Amino acid sequence: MAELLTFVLSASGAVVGFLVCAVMLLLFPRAVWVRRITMAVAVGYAGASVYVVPALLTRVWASGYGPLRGSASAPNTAIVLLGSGEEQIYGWSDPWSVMNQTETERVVETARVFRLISPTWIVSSGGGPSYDPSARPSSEAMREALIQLGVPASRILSESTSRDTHDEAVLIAPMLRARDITNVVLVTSAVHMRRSLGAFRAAGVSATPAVAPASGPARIWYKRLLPSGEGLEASAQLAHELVGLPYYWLRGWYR
Amino acid sequence: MNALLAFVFSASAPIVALLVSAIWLWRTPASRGARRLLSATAAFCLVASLQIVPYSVSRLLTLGYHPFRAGDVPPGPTAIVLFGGGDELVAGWADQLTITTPTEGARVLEAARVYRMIAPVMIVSSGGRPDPLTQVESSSTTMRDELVRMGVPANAIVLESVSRNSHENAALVVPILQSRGIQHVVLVTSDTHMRRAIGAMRAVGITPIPALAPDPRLPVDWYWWILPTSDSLEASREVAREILAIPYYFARGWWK
Repeated sequence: MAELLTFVLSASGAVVGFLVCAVMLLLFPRAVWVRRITMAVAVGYAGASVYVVPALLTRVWASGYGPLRGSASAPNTAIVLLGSGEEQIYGWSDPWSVMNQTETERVVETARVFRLISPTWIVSSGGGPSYDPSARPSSEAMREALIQLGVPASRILSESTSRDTHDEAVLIAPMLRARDITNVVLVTSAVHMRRSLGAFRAAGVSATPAVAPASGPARIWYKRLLPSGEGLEASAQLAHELVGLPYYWLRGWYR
Repeated sequence: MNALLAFVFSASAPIVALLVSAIWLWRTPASRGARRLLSATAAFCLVASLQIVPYSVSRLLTLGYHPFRAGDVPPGPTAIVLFGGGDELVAGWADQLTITTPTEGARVLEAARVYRMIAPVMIVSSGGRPDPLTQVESSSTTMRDELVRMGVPANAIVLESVSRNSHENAALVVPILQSRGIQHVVLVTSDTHMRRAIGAMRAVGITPIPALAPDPRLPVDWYWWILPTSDSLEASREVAREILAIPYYFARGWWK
């Protein structure tokens, strides 16, 4: 389901939708229903690809969550940083990976929260891609970026085997309990926060949200009002959450 | 030109064309023009979004080049010149961080591989700030940090942090190379970019040895070669840019 949504709400889906409409119009040039479908597909993609549309819907979806404020550092506190996947690069002989934009947004927010509350630990969480067991896990890439941003390496723990948010909650909960952590700050993207908090609650961890802001398209205002790949991607992420949350609830992974 | 290519070879173009055609057909259902626009744009987008198309065209751009081997470099002081390939700025509530794009990451990876093979005098990491209005860090710095993570000693890396395009890359690395008595230059850049980059270096008096960084977006599974993907649209954009930029560089005297 997630793959289907990602495909439909991508440039690939737009090209395929476009092609299907063109073929239908060639085959049935006078059919009213074909024109209606074409208009529906066009309006659907236009709406989904204009960045402000998913951005506003995401704001509704993530209402109640925002950036962490305050500066009081409490004892036995940990920041849990959820990964978002790497861009895998394969050279002639070596593989490498770089963080994607969403993951970098989370790392930057984690560094800010670290300075704000000075927690005992940061848990950097995320495994590698399932198709390449030798790839560097997200946790390691994020750990290196945190160190670059001034976080001491000795304060970072890694969880490097999870494949999804449920895995992360289940694997991190015992790590926190073993270290007597009583206060948890969860850093992830706004769109992902609701499901993540529910997944951690289901694993017995009640966390305080710290939302990482989305960079979106280039900071030229009109680009946010035009159809773009970034807009489609934001819509795909929102659709993923709208489907993912009921799925988690049905599986008993969300509370 | 870059903005136009970015629009044409992206999700934006098919969506705008579909919307225009749908509205046109809604208002004038018998319009042949609307159907032709829809069919022509759909065919163009389909062709541009299949990986096999930009890949095949890019093979013409890389004709005569091969993956770098240690034996390609004659004896003598050698430098690696690494051309930047664009970064992304990620801004948080208070901080920001610049990350490499996969294209630039592939170049850095190749530079590190060549460094281990030939142990050159230095690597010149070349690239300014892609967007001087928002970006505080140059491509050269971002690439230097990645090279260090890959095991290249920081003191072996020299930065050129002003250039904004391949012509400036070439022109600005020359004094650095001359001041160190470098005899041979290995140029690391993406495979599709190599022909223009080598011409730009030749135009400023240096004949480099090419070290191609393979396209990092090539699909692993065969079926992604014949299905529309956004990565393929991006690959088509890069190939189209090179096809337009080489004659432009030649006309300006920047390519030899």
